[in-house]
Amino acid sequence: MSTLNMSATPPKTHTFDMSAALDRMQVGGSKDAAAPVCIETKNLNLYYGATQALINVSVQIPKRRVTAFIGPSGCGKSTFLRCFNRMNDLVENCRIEGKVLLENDDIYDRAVKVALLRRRVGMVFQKPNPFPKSIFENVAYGLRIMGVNDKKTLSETVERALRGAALWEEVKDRLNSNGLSLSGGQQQRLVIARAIALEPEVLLLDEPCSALDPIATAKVEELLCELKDRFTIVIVTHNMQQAARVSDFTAFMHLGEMVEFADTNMLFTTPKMQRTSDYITGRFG
Amino acid sequence: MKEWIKSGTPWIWVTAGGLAVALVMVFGVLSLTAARGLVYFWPSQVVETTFVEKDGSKIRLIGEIKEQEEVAVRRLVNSGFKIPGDEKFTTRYLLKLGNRDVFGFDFKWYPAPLLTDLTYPKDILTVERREWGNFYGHLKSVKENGTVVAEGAAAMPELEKRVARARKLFDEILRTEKQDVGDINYVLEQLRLKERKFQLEGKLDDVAKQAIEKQREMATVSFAKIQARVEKLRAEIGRDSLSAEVMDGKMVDVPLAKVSEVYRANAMGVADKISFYFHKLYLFITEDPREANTEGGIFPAIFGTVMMVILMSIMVMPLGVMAAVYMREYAGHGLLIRIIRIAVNNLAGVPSIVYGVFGLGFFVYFLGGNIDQLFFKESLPAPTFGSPGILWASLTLAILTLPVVIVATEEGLSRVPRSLREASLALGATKAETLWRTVLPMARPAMMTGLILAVARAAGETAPLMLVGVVKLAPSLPLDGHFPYLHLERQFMHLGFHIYDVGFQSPNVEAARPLVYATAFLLVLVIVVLNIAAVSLRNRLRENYRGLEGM
Amino acid sequence: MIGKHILTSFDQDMLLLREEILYLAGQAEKELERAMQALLNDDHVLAQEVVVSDLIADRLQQQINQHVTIVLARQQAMADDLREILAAGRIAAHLERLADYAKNTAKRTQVLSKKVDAEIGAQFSWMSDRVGAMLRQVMHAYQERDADEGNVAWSSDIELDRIYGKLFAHLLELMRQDPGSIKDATQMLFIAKGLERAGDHVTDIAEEVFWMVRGTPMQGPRPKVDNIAPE
Repeated sequence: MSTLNMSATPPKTHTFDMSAALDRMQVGGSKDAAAPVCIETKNLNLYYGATQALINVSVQIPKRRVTAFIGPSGCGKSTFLRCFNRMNDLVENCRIEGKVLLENDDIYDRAVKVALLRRRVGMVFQKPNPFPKSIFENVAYGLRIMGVNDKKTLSETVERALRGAALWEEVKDRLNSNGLSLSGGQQQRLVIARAIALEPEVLLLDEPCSALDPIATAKVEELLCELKDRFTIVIVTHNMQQAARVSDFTAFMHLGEMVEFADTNMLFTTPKMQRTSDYITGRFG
Repeated sequence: MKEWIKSGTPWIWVTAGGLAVALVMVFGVLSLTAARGLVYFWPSQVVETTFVEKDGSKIRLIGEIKEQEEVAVRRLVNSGFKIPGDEKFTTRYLLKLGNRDVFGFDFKWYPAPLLTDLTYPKDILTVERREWGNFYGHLKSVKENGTVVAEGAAAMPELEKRVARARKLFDEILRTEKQDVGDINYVLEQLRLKERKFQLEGKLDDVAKQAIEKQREMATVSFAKIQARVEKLRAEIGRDSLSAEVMDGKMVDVPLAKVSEVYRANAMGVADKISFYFHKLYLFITEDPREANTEGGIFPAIFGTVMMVILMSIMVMPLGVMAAVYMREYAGHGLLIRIIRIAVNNLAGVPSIVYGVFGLGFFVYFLGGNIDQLFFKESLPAPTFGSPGILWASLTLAILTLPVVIVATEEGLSRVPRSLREASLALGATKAETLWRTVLPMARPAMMTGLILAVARAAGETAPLMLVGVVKLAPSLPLDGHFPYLHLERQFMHLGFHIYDVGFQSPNVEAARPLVYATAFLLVLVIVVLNIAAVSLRNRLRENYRGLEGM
Repeated sequence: MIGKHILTSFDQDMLLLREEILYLAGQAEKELERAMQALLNDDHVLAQEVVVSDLIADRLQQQINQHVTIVLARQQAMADDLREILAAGRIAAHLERLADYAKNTAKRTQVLSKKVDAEIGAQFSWMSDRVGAMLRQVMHAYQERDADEGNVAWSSDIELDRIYGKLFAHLLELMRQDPGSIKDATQMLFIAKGLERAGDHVTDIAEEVFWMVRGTPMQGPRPKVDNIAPE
């Protein structure tokens, strides 16, 4: 009797992926159990000299999902992120206790070559930092370090990386121009392309959008949603709304501790810990 | 008034004034040097005049007026000149009379009142010679093998023709002697060294001896042939001569073999003079010096200076950059590194002559001596590297300018933003790879700055060089056609030292003074050219790093 | 829908809400039809099915509520998007009430002693058709984001009120004449009231649609016939 398209099961229009949308709406439960673990930390404690910056942090970062770390300034989220690719080694007086496992490999083991680790775990920084070289050379940098110098391989990989970073169409005609001539948002996508050119397992992003305008920010967020099919993504952000938009899982940190780790829908609608609730509702301090 | 001071405007005047003073001083020095030096090449008028001697007799004078000054009449009277009139002060002229072989002196002062009938006859001939300086006189005839072939009005064109021929022959002789004979000498020297080497090693048996003898004979035969050719050329060049009347009326013959240039100074038009001027300028830059550096060109000095600066740059840049990289990138922050940094900075204040002494003692005697013992035994007791040479000179100056390069490079390295280093490390590069691929390329403008400062400092340093490699007259250039082409053990000539030598050590100081200015001007020019090249290179490098200010 | 949002996930979330609303509306429409069919044919089996199916509508409304919460928390929706999300929650509530009335009709059908007579049946049928048409029209307005079409649905509720008035009077008359029919007639009164209330809810949905599209509430009181005590 109905004349509209209202039947027992809702129709699938070709641009609407209902199962993915329903997945996104899941709160807790099966989503947690499904994803295997990529990075795991066990009782991680970090000291800068005498100050303790991370207190007993144990967390499991799921594979091929976006995990966000949120928290007030100084809570240790950036420090924690930098443990995953051992960038904290560059800081003097930095000491680690506990374990950090990447696919069950202890990355702080003596035998580990840090340079190789950093190829498996890429990083994008807060302020876009492309090298003062051409766009092509920027993206090819990591490959050249690995010893790849064959022109054909490099061209293909660079194109693939730039496509993956949603930048190819904008720069394909000027691969030889200086990387610094791009706008802020484009520079950040260039940096992402540079990182994914190495096909890492994990992509770490430390407040990647803080220096970008809203449109550029949205483009980067959209990019992250596309990239999570291929990489495990961990993003540190002081922008709660960004964490809400982009991530599948969110971790709230405060004063060096991991207060709560849950899937994003749960954490933002019904957080379990009072501290989390206070922070996300803005009743802090 | 107070308002004006408060507004800050006085500071604009003060600072601009300071800059203006500095600029005036710089341009003042440059223009003084240029004016005094570049005048040297302009053909000056030759005056003919009569002079009243002390005893009343009159003599004729022919020469160029070089200078004039005010002098007290009383002084002149005291030295025996009878000056008419009541004036307290009068002028006197410095006349360059030339003809040193005839009269024994070149320059002389003459009080103006005693000079009468100053004329500038058009036919007075100036002859620039290879020995004994200039010659002035009236051309009377041209002789070939003693017989007159032209005289009177026809003499001048004939003379010019023959002078051109003689010059060509002279160049030919010079080339033969320098190159061909030089080649033979080189071969003979090598044979001698080979023989000595075998001797030292105990390998000198009859077979070897004979082989060497045979080669020696071949060389000697070639030498004889060359000698014969030179003899022939000399005979040809000795064919012509000119005959002229000098100022005291005597007739003097000047063989054309000794003549490099003849011209009638008073008869030249402006266009002639200009082309003559540029011709002389060209010769100045390209010819070798003669007459104990008081005449001729300064090409070997230019070559030596530039070569030394280049060698010094090649040595100081890697050393300085590596030291700076270590100090900035790899060393910790402890007490030791701070002491080292202070020491390096203070090294810049050490007087350059101290570096010369250090270079002499350590490089020349110690290092050079040992190198000779190890590699050049056969030349001993004549030292190869154990004596001053261009290598040790460049090395000494490299150490002198090292602090400047280190400081400039360090500063450049510290300006590379930390974010770029982190970016490189995060991509899996080691610290060394990061340095090589990212940091050092970005520090290139700063390295160029260091190089510019080093070149500016070193190109002018003379005192240390006098001890470690510079010489008044070098027989050959450090770069020639014989293997190994670059002879680092040879001594060389240097513009700075050349200025000192010509200005203070030459037998004919008056004649040489304009040359001193001209050489000084040229030295400044060489440094300016080197600097401009380096600065433009640095600017091009800087272009690439525009847009990095925000990092 | 104006243009594509930069974040695909946002567009997808909004589409999901819309699909769920439309599905719930379809469910409500279907159940109202089936309940009426059961009433007219005195089909107690069908009535039982309708009663059980109400659970689906309930669950769907809860799901929509949950999704509205999540979308509001995660996407910082503004302007049209914000109103659409809020409207979705309220529309779902109204649709769930419609499904409830279907359930109640079915329950009361099961208690009737005999089949309704033809005249009353015709009036019930007319009212039910009317509600169905209004619902379809207003959901079409929702789908097309057409405020004016919603307006039309809104104003046609007045007809429904009039028929309800007639039916009410008829049933009163029946009860006066035949006291034995009071039990059944009372049930039928409630069924009629339910249908009238269903019409009101549909006009409420129309108001939500108007507000969702225009951003301002509909002006003026709804044209109404006072049916508190019809004669």
